Amino acid sequence: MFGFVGVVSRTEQDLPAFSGSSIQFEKFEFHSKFKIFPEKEDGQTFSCSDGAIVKILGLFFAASKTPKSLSNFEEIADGAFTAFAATPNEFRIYADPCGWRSIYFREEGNLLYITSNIRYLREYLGLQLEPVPERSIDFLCTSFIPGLETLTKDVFELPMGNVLEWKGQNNLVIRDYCRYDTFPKVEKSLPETASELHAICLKNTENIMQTSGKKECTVFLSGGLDSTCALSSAIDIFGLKNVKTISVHFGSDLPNENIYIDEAVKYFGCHHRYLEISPNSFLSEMDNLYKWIDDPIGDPVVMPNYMMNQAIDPKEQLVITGEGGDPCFGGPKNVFMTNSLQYSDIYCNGSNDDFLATCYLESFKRAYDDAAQLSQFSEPTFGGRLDKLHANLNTHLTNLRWESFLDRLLFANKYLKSNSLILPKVQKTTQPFFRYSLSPLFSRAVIEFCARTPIQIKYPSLKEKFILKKAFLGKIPQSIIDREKSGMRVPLRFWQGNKIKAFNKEVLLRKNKALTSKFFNIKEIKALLKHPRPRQGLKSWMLSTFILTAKNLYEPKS
Amino acid sequence: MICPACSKVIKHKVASTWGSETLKCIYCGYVFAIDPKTMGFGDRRVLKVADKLSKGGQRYFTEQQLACACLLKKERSPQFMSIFIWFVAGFVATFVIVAGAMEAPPGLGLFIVALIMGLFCALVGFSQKPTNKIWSGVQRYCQKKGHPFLITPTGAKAIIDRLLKKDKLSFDDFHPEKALIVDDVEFVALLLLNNFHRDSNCLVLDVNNVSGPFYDYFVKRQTSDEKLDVFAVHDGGKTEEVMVAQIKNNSKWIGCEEITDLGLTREALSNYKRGTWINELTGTITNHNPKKIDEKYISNSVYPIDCIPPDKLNMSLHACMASGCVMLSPEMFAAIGTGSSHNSGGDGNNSYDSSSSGNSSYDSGTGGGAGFDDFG
Repeated sequence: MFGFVGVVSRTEQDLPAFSGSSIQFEKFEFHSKFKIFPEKEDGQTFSCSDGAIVKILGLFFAASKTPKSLSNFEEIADGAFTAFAATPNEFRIYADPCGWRSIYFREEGNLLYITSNIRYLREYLGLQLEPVPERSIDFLCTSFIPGLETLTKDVFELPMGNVLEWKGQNNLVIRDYCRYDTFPKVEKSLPETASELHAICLKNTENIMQTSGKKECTVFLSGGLDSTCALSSAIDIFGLKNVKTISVHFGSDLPNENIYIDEAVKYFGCHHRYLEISPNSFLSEMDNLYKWIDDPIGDPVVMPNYMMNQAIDPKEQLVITGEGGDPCFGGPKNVFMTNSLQYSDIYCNGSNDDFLATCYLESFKRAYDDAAQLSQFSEPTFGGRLDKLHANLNTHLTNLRWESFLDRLLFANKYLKSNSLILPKVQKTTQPFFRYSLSPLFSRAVIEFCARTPIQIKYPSLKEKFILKKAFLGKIPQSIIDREKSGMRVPLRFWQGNKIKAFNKEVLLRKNKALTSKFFNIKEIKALLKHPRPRQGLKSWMLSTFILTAKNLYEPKS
Repeated sequence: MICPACSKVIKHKVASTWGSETLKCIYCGYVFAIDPKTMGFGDRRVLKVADKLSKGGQRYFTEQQLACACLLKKERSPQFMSIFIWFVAGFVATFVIVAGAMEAPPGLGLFIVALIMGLFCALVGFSQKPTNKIWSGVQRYCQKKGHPFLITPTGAKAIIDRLLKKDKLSFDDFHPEKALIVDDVEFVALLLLNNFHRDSNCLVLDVNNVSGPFYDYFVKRQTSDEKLDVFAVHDGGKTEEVMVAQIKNNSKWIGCEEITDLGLTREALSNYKRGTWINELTGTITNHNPKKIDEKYISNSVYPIDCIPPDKLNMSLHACMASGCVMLSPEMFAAIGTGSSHNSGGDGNNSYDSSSSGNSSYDSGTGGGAGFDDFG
């Protein structure tokens, strides 16, 4: 898994002193210096027939087809990549169609800084990084910072399927090149649609194998539907002997998904490893882990992902996961939203524009209910930021290009959660180990399939992942198809009376009190750590990991 | 009296205008709804309890819920101090009266008689039932003053009517897994406003309303291949208990042959030690005592289900629907204690405490000892 940091300018003399190598865009008068990690992953460079130059880092699924032009590139681009392109008029950066690879940028006069990790801007280019404290309100409400903005001042994230077009001198445009909302619906029979989806998943797995050049892979198994479907695809393409699986549990005294994992392992006959995680095993790793998180992610699943990556053999360089199943095929939180909409008239704010956004935030079940208390900001700053967040969410939740509300919701989840939460949490935990991690269930081909398949075929009567279940019927254990959704659950509440509590106190109050007080209300944090309240464990975890991320970004020497 | 608006202390005689029943705060002009002299409690107590019940504007509550919560802890069970006061009063009164009537100085005999009378009075005090009229007082307060998060019978009807009048009530993206039939429209409004339907993906219906789009939707589902699992929940009490039988006998309630009665059942209440009874005829509110359950059934008192704290109510109902156990049973407390049954799932990124309140006390092994900390 690669990382990079670079700077582009229209004039060579403006480039800062930095020991990076140049990408050959000079003929269009775009001068650049880049550092790519590891250096051997230098990517591919194409010259299109229209003269444009494209450099691609990462896994580009259409590598065998040289793009004829940039518009042709935009049509065929799929995979987990970052692409740079130059034309006589502009320099472009392409985010991949799913948002597998994070791209952060900062524009300063004649210079455009680009990086895969925000901290590289400080470490390699000497830029001063500062937080925008009020963006912590977004984090409290969602457990991440959705959209273009990041916690860092003047640093933005390029959304999935978007291209940044830069002409220099503050002339910057961001454009959606995938336009999923323009796909017309195609009516097909259920068996036809299901087999099409299965074929797409297999093709994705084949693409992952070919572009990564790896003959073996490790599948992260959770016992749920998505990861089992990913395992089935991996075995079909890589062959049983080349597929290993790993899962986590939190000790025999705590609930786990081992029954379903056992069933999957027995069904496929693959080589499996169980990894037990406890506070003793991960607390010492927290600092190392959150160094890699560029923009706060409060989801506790980051930790088991990292621990699994750490546990597997360094020679195993490709990880397959089941990410993307929920935003593509429908998770349980959609029911909360559709029921809210059905009964909207009973609520006093039911006819307000913000009603949907409010429900969406409530459905996250994070710290939205306590955000006003936990935040150090009071009105009008708090309300103003919340309004901005609502507006950002409403852009997707009220996109009338989608006829069905459920389509609107599914695509909102892709743009908001996948791009800023689900995929970064995979990418940032595999990057320290120089591994690739992808999912056969989440690619441009899958998203386009979802865009053109009518709701009544892919998600009838809100039946969770209906079409995915049909696609893998007979190919995975029936008990996993029939089981209820559970999700990976980290037992934070059970650990509260344990070392985690001391850890939270240390991070939030003892070591970083001044930093914590920039974002959060210290008195309320003390109350949160002391007295039980709904989702106490999750909320304290969110705050502690936020501070670890902020410390590594803005006060690394403290 | 303390004014709930300005918190100033006013004497009753000052607050009352001569010849009028209206009590008014002389400092801020607040007009009292309840006369503490006749009711035994005032506006301030009701308002404070109402604010607490709404959890700072996060939860709705009903009149019954408010009335139950207004019964103070000391009024729920005889306290040592009140028994002691009864004892002292009996002892002193006997001593003074008898000693005054006697010519000889008081001796050991009189002391023993006074002691016996004191003990008798303590016994009387112990068996005293709360006589204050909390139910009537709270009703009066609700009528005069209201509360932004209070659901009154009229308010509940207006809320449901607003929903039914929606121009295009589309059921396209609505697909509940189960239906819950409840005993009145206030309870429907309470569950909806407190988001039970969306957390549990449940259609909530009023047993007395067999018309309208939501009832039609219910009929449509029950006559299709995708039948809803049907549950019923009602207050505890003699007439309330027959609700499920009435549903089964009513041809309008289609597809309810296998309806599950979640209670409140007499059996569950016989093993449970907390909660409150309301006698709507006398206006008396009394603490629940499993040993006196027959008395309550005979007097047509009601054990309102909505006296369960609002945040616990949703969780408990969900747990009972998932596991099939009845409300307030030890099995229910065991189920909600795990915190795993309520609103589970998510986008693959949950934690165990994503739903549990984390402060409900439960112990399935202790039977009637188990309960909600903040019941009532």
